[in-house]
Formats: sequence, C-alpha cells, structure tokens
Amino acid sequence: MQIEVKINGVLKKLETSPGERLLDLLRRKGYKSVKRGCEEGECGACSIILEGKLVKSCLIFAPQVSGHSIITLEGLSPKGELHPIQRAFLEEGAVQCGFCTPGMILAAKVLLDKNPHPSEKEIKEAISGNLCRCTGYVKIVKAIKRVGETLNKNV
Amino acid sequence: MKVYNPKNIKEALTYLGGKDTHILAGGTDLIVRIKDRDIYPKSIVNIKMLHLDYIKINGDFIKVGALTSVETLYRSEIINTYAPVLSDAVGKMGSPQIRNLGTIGGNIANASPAADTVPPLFVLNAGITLKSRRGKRAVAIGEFFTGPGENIIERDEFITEVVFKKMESDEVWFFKKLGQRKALTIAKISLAFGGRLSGRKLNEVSIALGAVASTVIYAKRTADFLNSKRLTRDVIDVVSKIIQKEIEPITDIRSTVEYRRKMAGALLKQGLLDIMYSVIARQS
Repeated sequence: MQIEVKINGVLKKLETSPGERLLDLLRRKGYKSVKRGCEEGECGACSIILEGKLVKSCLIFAPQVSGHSIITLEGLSPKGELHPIQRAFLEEGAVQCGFCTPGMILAAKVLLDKNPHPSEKEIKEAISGNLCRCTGYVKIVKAIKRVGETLNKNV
Repeated sequence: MKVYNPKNIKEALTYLGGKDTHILAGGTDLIVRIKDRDIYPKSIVNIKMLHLDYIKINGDFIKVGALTSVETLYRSEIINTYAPVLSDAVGKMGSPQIRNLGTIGGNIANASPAADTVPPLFVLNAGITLKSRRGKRAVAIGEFFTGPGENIIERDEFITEVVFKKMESDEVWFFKKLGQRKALTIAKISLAFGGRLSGRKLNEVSIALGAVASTVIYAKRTADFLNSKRLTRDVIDVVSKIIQKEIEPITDIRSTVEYRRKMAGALLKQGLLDIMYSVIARQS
C-alpha cells in the first residue's frame, strides 16, 4: 500500500504495509536520526514530531500518519546548518554517545516552540520520556536552557 | 494482518466479532504487544477516525469520548474544574510522548490493575458506554473489570464513551500514586479518594485502590467506617489501619505485600490529614 506523508516539509509518497511501524519505515527510507532503541515506548530514542506533538514512532503504524505532517531531526537542519538547539547541545557538551540526542533535541524543540523560556522543571518534564543512558541529563538541561537564553538576547 | 480504518461507528462495528480482531486506539500498548508476539491479530480496527475525541458538559454530567488522549484530559478546563481527581491522576501519567497517544478508552479497556485513570473513575462512579451491532449498553466502572487484563467487553463491542457526574464544591478528593520513580512509572499502589464534607464531617465516601488486587478495587469497609465521622487525628489513625486489613495485595515484580499494605494506610492518612488541616485553616 502507498501512503502520502509530509516529512520535514516535503510531501512523500511511500510504499508500506499495514503492520509496518513508522520507526521501521523512516529508517528504511534513510531517516537514520530516528533511533531503534527499546521498541516499546519507554526510551524515546525514536521520537518524532507528529502534527506538532512529540510521539514515539515505535508505537505508531506507518499508515496511521498518511495525510499528516511529521518532523524528524533531519528537518531541523535542511541545508546542513545547525539548528540553534543543536548548536547549544554541542556548546554545552550535552552529547555523549549521541544515541538519545535526536529524541532529546526534538523534545526540546516541541517545548521551546510553545515556551521559549522554560524553567528547569518544565525542561525536565519535557524530556521525561527520553532516556539518556550516559546519564548526561545535567548538560542536556543546561543546553535547552541556553537556547532559551540565546533566543532572549536576539529579541 | 488486515487493518480497517472505518469512518464511522456503524462501519467500525461491522468489522468486530472475530476472535483475533483487536482495536487500535492510541496504540501505546497494542503495538508493543504485537511486536513482543504476545498477540497475533488477524485484523485490527483503527478507531481513530470515529470522532470520539471530545469532552462535553451535559447538564450535571461530563461525557468523555473514548479516544480522548491523556494529554487532552490533562489540559482540559472542564476536567480540571469538574473532575479534579481525574485531572490530578492524568497529570501523573506516562511521558509526554505516551500522553499524546494514549487514550482514556485504551487505559480502561486494557484493564491493568495499575491503570492510572481507573481509581479516579471508580471514585467518580463513571459509566462506560459500549456499542455493538446489537445496540448500546452502559456498565458501571466498578463492575467492568474481571481480572488483570480482563473485562466484560464482548468481542463485538467497543468502548465509545465515559460518563460521570460533575463533582460539586462540597466534595473533597485526592489521588496518590507511588512508583519506582516520578516520571514514566507504573504504580506500585495508587489510591483515589472522594467524599462530601460538611464542617468536618465526611459523607458519601468512596475509596479506590490500584495495583493491590487483580483489578482496581473499592475499599468499601474503609469508606463505610468514615461515613458520618468527624475528621480527627484519632479517626484518621484508626482508618489507616482499617484499610490495611481490608486489602489483600500480593508480592510481584513491582512491590511486596507488606509495602503495599503499609502504603495504603500511609497514603490514606496523608490525604485525610491534608483535608483536615485545610478545614481547620479555613475555620480559624
């Protein structure tokens, strides 16, 4: 079966099957930022943004997103230029092994889009569904806070 | 595996009835169970397009569509105002990603003894509306569950709506949950409390507990003890012992009998003390 889905702003026609998970479809099509982690909705490494909401792509069948719009990490830097959140992660040293990073950055994006200057508590809530097994949460939280502060300066 | 995407309830009902037919609501449990080879569905009925995502006021009642997400419930002014005990519970549920997908109907249908929406729905004495080709029926939530993962839903039925009465201003409530940690946790024990307060006297008390039996249960004897009692430290001390005797928890991967018993008493005590102190503060 074929589905039509807007990925990172580009309308795509993709071949899939009723039982294929969105995670598998995206990876098969080269969106490798979508990580295969626990595959049971716990770790958040496969997070994507679906119609503005953070969801886990291992818990969605691909045909369910037909006609919808999704964003993966690739969509944040279409021309290879780093997104401010990515830059903040680099500058704060918020990346260790990097496996959780795409999900973390998307969780941060959903938060910052709604709330450009989040408190530490709001940041922790926003990333509560994303596990970092290097346990580098301190720097991740700092990086997200830094984006908020940078945005503030630009205003 | 065949997936049906019906556009209305009538069409959806025509696909139900088969042995290996499963309903897809939020998918947060179903898709994991398929991946784990825990179930092998022959067909799946995706009920996303049935417009069952709503929260409405109807006179003294609140009607919640089965497909309403946990996040929508949490953000709802109506739920926050008229069913604060439910609002509090959904605020303690899952990760942002799960809250965006998971639905109230799914949380009920899965029949986990630790389901977070269920103890508050017990206290609200919610009715669950089921539809089938044979018609529709309403079942009280207290009669809905028959065991872990088991309920009274027939193969040709599915949950369309959850209905409960608005809470009123003389009603007091609390919801307490203990897990391994704060975020993304499955309850070791949860307790929802509701009742009416006049002065310091309690009435119409209802207490429901999660994760201490094969289904969510009412602690009826404990509630009866509190009815028409004045809230004092002594009463609270006594009732926190009664609840420990009333429940029959088990030891499992998440917790032990002893811990669950003690915590049932502690959670009830904590909640009742909070109510008592706020009454005293208001009166002085």
